[in-house]
Amino acid sequence: MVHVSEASRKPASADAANERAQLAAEWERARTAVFAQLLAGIGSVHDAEDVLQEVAVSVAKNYGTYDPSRPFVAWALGITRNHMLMYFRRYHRDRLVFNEELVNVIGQNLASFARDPVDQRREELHYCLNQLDSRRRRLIELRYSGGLSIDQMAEALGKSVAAVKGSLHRVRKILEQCVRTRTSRVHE
Amino acid sequence: MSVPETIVELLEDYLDGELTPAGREIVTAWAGESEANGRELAAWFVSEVQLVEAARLTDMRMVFEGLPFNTRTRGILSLGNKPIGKSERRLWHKIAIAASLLMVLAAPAAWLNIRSGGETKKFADQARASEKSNQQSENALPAVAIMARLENCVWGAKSKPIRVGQDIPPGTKIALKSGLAQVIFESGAEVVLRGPCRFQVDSSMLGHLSAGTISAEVPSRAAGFTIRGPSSEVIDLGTRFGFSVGSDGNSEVHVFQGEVISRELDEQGEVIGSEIRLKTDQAVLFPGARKQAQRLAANEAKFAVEVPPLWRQDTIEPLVVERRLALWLRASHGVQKDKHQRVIAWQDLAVGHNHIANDAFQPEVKARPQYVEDAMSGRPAIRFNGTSTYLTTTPLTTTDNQTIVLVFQHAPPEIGEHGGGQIINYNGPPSRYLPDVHSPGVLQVGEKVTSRDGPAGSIAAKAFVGRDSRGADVSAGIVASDSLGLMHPRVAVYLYNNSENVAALYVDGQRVAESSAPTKVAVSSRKVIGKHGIFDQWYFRGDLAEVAIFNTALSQIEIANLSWQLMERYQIARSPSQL
Repeated sequence: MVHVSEASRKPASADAANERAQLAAEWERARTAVFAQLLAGIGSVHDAEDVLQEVAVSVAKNYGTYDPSRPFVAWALGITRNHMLMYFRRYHRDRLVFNEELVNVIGQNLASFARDPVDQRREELHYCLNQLDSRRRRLIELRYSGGLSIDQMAEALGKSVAAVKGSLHRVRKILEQCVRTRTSRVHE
Repeated sequence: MSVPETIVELLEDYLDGELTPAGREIVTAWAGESEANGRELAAWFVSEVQLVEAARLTDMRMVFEGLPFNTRTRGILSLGNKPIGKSERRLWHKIAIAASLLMVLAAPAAWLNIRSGGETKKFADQARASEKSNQQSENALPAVAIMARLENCVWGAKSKPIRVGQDIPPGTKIALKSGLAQVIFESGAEVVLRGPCRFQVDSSMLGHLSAGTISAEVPSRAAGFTIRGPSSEVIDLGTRFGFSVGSDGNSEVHVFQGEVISRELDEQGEVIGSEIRLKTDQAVLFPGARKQAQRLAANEAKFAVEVPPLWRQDTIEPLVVERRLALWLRASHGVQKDKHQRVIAWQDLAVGHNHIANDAFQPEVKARPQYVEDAMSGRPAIRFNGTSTYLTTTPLTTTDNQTIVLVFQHAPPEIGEHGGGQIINYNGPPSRYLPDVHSPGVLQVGEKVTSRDGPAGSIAAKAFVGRDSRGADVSAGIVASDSLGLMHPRVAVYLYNNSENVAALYVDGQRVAESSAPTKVAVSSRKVIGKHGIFDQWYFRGDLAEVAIFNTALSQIEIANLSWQLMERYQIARSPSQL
């Protein structure tokens, strides 16, 4: 019988724990880019969310094959492309999607975005959302939390499609400006 | 953010599934104007994602507590990976968004601040159940065979009829009262069932014969293809053979060409006795009930079964070059149509040369191209609408050296649409994804194959090699013609000669473009005719009268002779230098 001492077991357990933490941290940095890639490639928030879940599992399953000397986000985006292909094979859809070339352009830029600090931006975005007046916050809730299309929002709000699009565009600009101001303040 | 409001409105349409082709062109053109625009576009999608997350992410960090994951230092543990059912989607959005499988499994300190109790357990139980059910449904998805040709089939009472071109998932049972049915497996093996017959498709390399007679044609790449009966099995080593199971339990294996291994099985399907190797013209009878197997002479006349094609060999004018011809489709022969003259199947005329029929199919009504009797100089062609129609062949082995011959004409594009489109693409389902540049490339002819579309009415070709370390596309052998005009029949030949590192494009017998061919392209794959191999994009808009694929690099003389033959057939005038 082979006796395994407590001391000899600890390093393996510590390695695994470290790797868990490392994977979590790397995925956290890459996740937004992966989601954005899926959104750009699939063109549907709902479906992109589903595939995001699949990508997350694949990343965990295949983490053993990841070469740490390469950028994690590029590796994760490679897995993402595979899952997009599987998605298109699985579902024969009528929805028009961007062509491969455009999706690749977006993907290449996303790889570099992932180097930016996301935690701070996320916190600032939460803050800025809370600063919106109720009318503007309602718009964001309908679109992003409720998942309504522009047509559905127009109907719910009793406005024209063009008016809703314009309002959303302005709210986004306000949020972007707010986030930019707050993040630059921190860096000063 | 500096994405113009007009572009943002189109992006909103995109995410709502309302974007038009014209709108897509506008977005694509804007993104291509500068690298900065590409960055802004990516940033816009990042902002969208962050807004979605900000609106939905809260309080979902407790989900999936305690599920396993694997690390580089430990073995792989079981993880489901499935999306959830539509009805549950709203609830599970938050779960998916959190990507909590990872976030919680591998959670750093902040993510470990997890609520415990019944709610968490409920979520976790639902997630596991959802993963399990979705895993099951996904397992049933991939087809392992396709129904190719049918002849006077009367289906058994409990057997759902299978249409020509229909995908066959594993576990499918086929019961024929009478008639002939040809099943092509993804491995390339071809099995013809002769009714009465009961057969089950188990995988791309395995079938079960319960009763009746089958005949199999197995290419060398599918060596190991196995047919099992109640009391025996036959394992192919690259050959043609027949197999029958009688009502009394007897079974017979007859080899017409090549070699097989045959073994007796007990009631549990376990191998008993020693294996019997059979070569050309040899046969064996397994009498069952543990009686001794008996060797016989093969009876090809009795056991070789073939579904007759729609065409007759003696009515077809042969090509002047047939060297290593792997696929030949000609619209005047072998086209199976529905009542609206839409194409269900386009049969391979080169079956005599490679023994395996690689017909092209479209089982979906809405995606069927149109057969047009008088399309090209009074001859028939298949008309592709540029938006939704295409065909897919059965798996076909093609080599590193290729010669692709097409007789086609471009149709005028619809207003606001781009014409052209891909005429043939070597990456049909189950398509390969090429993450690097080390796998065999994907040949494709027609637009769009370059970073920019060529002039209207041109034709181009290339081998898509894969992606570099930055994720950018890499291609080889890129060639393109000038505009060839609309509704003008043309003979195009794409030569990809990897052995001599030369790719060339010929139009009406003249060499119009040349490039290098450094990449290997040999592959067994379905070929897609009329659109991109993977994406539902770049549909061909025009007429296609002939497709020929040669598993060799034809010589310049051979290409000229072949081109002239086809030019004469389709009344395409030779240039003065060709006279």
